[in-house]
Amino acid sequence: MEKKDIKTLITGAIALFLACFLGIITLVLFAIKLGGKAMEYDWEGAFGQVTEQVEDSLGT
Amino acid sequence: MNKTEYLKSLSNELGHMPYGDVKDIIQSIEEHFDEGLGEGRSEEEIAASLGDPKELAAEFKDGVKFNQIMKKRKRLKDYAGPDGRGRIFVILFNAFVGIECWLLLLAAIIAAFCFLAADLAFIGLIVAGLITGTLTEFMVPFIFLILTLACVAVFLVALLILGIKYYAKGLKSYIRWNKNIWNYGLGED
Repeated sequence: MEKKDIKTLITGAIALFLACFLGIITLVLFAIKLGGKAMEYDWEGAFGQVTEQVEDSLGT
Repeated sequence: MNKTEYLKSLSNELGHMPYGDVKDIIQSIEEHFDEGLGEGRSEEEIAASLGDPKELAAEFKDGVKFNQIMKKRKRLKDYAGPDGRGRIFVILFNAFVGIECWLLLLAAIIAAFCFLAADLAFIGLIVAGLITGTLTEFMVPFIFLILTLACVAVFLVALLILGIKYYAKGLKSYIRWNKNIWNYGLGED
């Protein structure tokens, strides 16, 4: 294997390591953002609306 | 041509190769001469068996090793016409193993290329989204996603550079190996 190829191989390995590292950080950031959104969401209101619709359709 | 003349002529032909390589080649040829002389052959006979120094130098320049050259010379000397077994082997091996393996590797290279294209397209889409303001709510995670994808792109480029280079090298050697078996049979090695 030539010296140039070893350099390319090392570059590729570093890039793969960084991709994994940054990938995990990205997933965590998305989870935090989406988690925050989920916490802010009005679940009770949304469920209450659905319950009302079901009750209306059943005629109770 | 005696030993000294042969070595001088060969080193002249090898002129443009690195000094270390020329030194190793000359050393191996000297050893070959010594072995031959030990077996009772004359310097002229050994020089003749090595062939034209110009041709030998050309083979060394192609990166062929001395023992490979000698094996080839021996095979050419012992050559007694095409070998049917070798040809059947080449056909069967390529039909069931060889061509499939090379196609599989080619498919892997094409797949890596497609992944790279998709990766770059995805980066482009996210950047466009960030510029137009559609993704501003998730700005930080998307910036990290761009960085991740950029690293994946670098990895794929490195993989493709090495993959294509060694695929071509390997395929060349494989074709040479097939040609050898096709022409000279399976041999003993």
